[in-house]
Amino acid sequence: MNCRSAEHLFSSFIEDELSQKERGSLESHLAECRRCSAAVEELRTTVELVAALPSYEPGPHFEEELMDRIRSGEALRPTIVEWMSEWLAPARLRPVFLAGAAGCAAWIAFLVVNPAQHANPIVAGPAPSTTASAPSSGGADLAPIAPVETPAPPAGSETIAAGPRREHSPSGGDAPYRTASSATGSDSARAGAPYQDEYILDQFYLNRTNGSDRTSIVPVTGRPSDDVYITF
Amino acid sequence: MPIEPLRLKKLDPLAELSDEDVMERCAQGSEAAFRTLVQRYRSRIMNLVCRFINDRDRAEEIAQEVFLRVFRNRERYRKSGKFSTWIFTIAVNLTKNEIRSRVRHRGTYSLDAMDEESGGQGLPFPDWKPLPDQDLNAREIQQKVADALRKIPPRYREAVVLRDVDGLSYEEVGEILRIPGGTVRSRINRARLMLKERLKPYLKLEDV
Repeated sequence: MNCRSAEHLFSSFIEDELSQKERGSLESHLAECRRCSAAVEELRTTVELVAALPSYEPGPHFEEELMDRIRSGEALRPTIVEWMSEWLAPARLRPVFLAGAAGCAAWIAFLVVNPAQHANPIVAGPAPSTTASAPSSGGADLAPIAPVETPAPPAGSETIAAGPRREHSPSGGDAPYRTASSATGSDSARAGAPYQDEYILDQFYLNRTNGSDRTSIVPVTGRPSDDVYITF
Repeated sequence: MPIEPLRLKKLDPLAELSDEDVMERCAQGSEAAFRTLVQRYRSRIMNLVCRFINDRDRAEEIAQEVFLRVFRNRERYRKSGKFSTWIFTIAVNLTKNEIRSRVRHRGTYSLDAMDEESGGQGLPFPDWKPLPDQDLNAREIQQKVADALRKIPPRYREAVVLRDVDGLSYEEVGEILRIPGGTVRSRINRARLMLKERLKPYLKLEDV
């Protein structure tokens, strides 16, 4: 044991809180090192001096002033921190959390059981009017933001998304994808498809069934049975 | 043989109870129980706060606030915890708030600035009385110890004050300061070593 590691044990040593092994090790070091041995004695004296410091007493009217403040009620109003900690106490919040969790569960269950009832009327409305009426005034209403950057679709088209488009073949043929640019001239053929769609990501596309105002996000799996993850 | 008159000693039913039991009575609405706790702890709380902030008037206000909080929150006290840990935690938190507030207003926590409030000499020593010459040396040493205590960094001071001045256990100190046991021991040891270095000349005088 060197002096530095011995120093860490001084307090525990003078309070007799070392293990037998540590104590033996330190005692053998102290027997050899006069400096550490003197330091231990100085530390012991220091602790005694601190413990012997006289105490500061409160004034003679401390208790009566305190009781007056309590009786007046003025000092009993909880502070903001106390009020907040009381209000946010787990016991008080438990019913709130339970009610919130139950509400969320009910809402999710409702969406899962009857997803088509929650189609977003703004997005699912006539596409040209949605994009054409893109908000230019920046009002506080909940108008969709995307149409500002979205070019208006070709007249008569019900597609919503834009950009490089790929078309999904619901029949799952040899070439399930083709870009919109490569599909020029096939629009008339698409009119007879069960639905038109737009790929908005590599994995999902927007889907709207002809003659219906339902729009859904569909995974690109080529399997129509996987349809309708989220509807809006 | 004269018969001595029967002397009835007035017994305080709370005197024999533990702090936790007295606090339970207090939570049930007993003013006497609350007064008992105030009498048991007012000096310790006052002393603790004074050692931390070096401002006697403000320390007394904080000590009053500690007891007001005990009273306000008496129904939330759980008997499973030690009362001393609870009340010291309140006191330490309020004192830290005070120090933070001073830091905000002064820009830094300066012990020298604190000294200015007390005329550069720290707090006047408690229960000051003229002393015979042989006691002057002891008083001077006590003043040096108090000064040394004020001048070590706050996080070491709070640990060593709780342990060596208030006599709390290491576990209680850790609980109050919300630090693990190893850190408590390390801080206390470090604080004592700092004090020892500051007091070195006087430790030799003490030996004489």
